[in-house]
Amino acid sequence: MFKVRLLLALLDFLEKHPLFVRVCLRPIANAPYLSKRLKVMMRAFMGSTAFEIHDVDVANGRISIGGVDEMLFGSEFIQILHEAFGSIVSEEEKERILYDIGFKACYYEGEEALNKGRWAPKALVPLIYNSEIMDRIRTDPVMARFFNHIEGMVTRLILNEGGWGHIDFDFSSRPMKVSLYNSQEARYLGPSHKPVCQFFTGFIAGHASSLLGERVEAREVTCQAMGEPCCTFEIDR
Amino acid sequence: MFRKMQLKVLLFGMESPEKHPFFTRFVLRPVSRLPLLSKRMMVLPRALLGDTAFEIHDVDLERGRIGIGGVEEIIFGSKIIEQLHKVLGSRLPEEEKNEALYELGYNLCRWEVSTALQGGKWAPRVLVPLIANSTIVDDVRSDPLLARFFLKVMGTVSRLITDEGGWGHLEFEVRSKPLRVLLSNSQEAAWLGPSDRPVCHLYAGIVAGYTSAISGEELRAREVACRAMGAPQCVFEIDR
Repeated sequence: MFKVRLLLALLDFLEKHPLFVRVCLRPIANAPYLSKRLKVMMRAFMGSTAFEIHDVDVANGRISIGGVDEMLFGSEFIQILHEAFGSIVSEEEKERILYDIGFKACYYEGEEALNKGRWAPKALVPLIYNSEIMDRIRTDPVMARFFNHIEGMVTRLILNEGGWGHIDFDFSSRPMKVSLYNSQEARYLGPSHKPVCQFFTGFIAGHASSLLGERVEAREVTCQAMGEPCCTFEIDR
Repeated sequence: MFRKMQLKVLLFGMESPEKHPFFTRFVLRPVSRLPLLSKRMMVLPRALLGDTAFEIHDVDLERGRIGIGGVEEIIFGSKIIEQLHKVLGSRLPEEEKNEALYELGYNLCRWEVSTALQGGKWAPRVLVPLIANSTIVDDVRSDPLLARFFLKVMGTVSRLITDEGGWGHLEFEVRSKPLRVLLSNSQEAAWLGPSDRPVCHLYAGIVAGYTSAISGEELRAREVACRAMGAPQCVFEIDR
């Protein structure tokens, strides 16, 4: 617990001093020799952007972040995916397929990030990635704040800077709620009379499952495509 | 005659940064990155001065949006490639699955290239017709100057989209008939190989969508060699 309090104090300090982070820490985090040795999360908290943290191998045509291999797609790919599956299978099966692809893609990314050991020091990973984390953050406000800092940064790197929109967590609610603003699926597939973010729902479930080390499912309960201000997902154990 | 002059001037401008790397690195590149100037410069001039795709991207952190030259993008883990093949393969016969992947790639790339061409943020509008026109595939075979220009532009564009987009490295053989496109380090071959037949169906669609958007014709691409089969590179031939 001492470790969590110490880290939390450091993260709070960084959050309260954005100028210090930008002017002093960011150049250090991006310095040629050091940047290769610092872990992804450390660099992110020191002010580096996801693009600055990415490794780019131009000669081989590969990009990755902390050992997780990635690819850039035009955002319309989301709509093309929905249309392509919609023309092949029934509506219900299309939704299941998209959920499944989102789940597996995100679960694999989470596992890769953890296994490669380049996102955070190995000793700190179990603080967040364990099966009891959901119960702990509900009962322990210090742990909840720490978790919020970490997940906020992970999602900034993957989602905000990956073009997927912005998410907020509501850890206190039961089941846990996740709100997504500016969903790509809602934007391309709306307006609609029912939720359309099946890929992202799977994405959320995959992320939560890799975090908890057990399979959990997500449901979209409100969708921007239906005129709501944001998309809301509930995570069930 | 005017077009020839135009091409010569453009080629001079495009090849100069390469010939003077020191001047480009220490003078032109820092200038192109000045906050006020970088927002006004088009994508291709910035790329030719050595800026990377990530440096050129616009990032709207608050809204969670990224884009390059008006083309909005999203980042996926490369596992998505394997997933698409697996999921479609479990529901469709082999040939239909391959065609579905080809269509996905075609539609994706056609949309991206068309958006880039029409958006007017990649290259000055007056220069676009030099590359994007219905006779370009034949013209580059007969005109060495145009071929050099075409290769320079396509090389820069594909560096931004494919090399720095995590898709592998592309080269064009404009003199061959049919036109050939070579792909090194295909993600599909990496995820799906080894195989006894070509596996890059999504990428074949991407190549077809790319060339179709540029020529304004419906072109098809066939993969004639694949890294998943042990070939050094994947090779695509473009048919009318």
